[in-house]
Amino acid sequence: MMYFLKRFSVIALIQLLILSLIFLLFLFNFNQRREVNKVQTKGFASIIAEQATNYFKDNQFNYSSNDFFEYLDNRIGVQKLTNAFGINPPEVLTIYFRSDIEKGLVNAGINSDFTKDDTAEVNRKIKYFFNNKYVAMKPFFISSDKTPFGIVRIETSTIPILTDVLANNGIFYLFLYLILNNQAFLFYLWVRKKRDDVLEKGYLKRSSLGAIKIMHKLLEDIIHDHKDEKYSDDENKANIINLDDKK
Amino acid sequence: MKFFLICIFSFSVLVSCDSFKAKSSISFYGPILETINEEGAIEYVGRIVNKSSEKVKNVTLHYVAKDNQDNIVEAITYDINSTEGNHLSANEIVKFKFSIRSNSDDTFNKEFVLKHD
Repeated sequence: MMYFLKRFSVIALIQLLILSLIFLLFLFNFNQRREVNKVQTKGFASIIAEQATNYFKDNQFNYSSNDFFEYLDNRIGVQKLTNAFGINPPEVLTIYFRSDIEKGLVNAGINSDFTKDDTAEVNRKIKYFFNNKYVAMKPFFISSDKTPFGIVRIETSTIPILTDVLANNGIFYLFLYLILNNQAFLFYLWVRKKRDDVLEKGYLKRSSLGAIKIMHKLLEDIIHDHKDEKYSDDENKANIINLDDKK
Repeated sequence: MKFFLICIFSFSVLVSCDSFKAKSSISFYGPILETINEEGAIEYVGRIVNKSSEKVKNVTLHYVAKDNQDNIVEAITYDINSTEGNHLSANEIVKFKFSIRSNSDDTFNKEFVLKHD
């Protein structure tokens, strides 16, 4: 029972090691894609902020969301730009004015200097044990003021990246799992062969040899204890006869 | 026998990986613009496209706003209508615009889901 338990725990440990290696590889692939997404989102926020500056310079007082949306589409082609994101285009582009932020109408998730507050709850979404929301922010100015007129806030979800990495690399991970298991088995065979070589030197196990050595020592002690005792010839003969009878 | 089992397992992984890719005939055409209107309410402007070659009926946009505890703060169902009625023709793009009542301060996560018959 103990033997099987030991074997099972070794197998489970090897499987855990292999799966950990594959998981590390998956994390590496996922992080690579996530960094690309961050750069894209920041770039997109900068482009929108630039267009917002141009638009609000002329339309500070007669602003309409429909009009701004049309303006963005005519100037930069928002749809084509978001297509560049591939699998996880930003769903919402947010424009918050400084006046609304200061009035407390909106929770933009920014610090007092209008930079992104990474600790703000609105900028995070913990699901599947990691933060799967990335928020890029860019303030925009319409004059030479030090304080911005507003901020552009763009959210992207990293869940589509996760599923895409799995979908694209799933077969690769599976084959890697099979190959590593194969390698582990070959390693086991190599180790086992070496053990057999050691056993071939003798025909008894080390534990049996130990038991015989103990018995040998005991017999030596007994013989030593009785070496001074003298037997008559008849007694010696009787002992020999008894031994012959036992045979 | 083992080879056969490995083949079935590989095929099932392949199929399950492929199922990650979403397939829908309607989708948002570009991002949705979120602003604060003159009344201080959150306003959304965007466009929806019918990517299929067939007419799609009864298109609705479901908006769900959630707080930091993942509780629903506000949910809205908005009917998407084209100039011809409550359907979208093949490759047709329609605009939508709606505002919500809840305060943005309570909104931590927003979900936009498109549904149709």
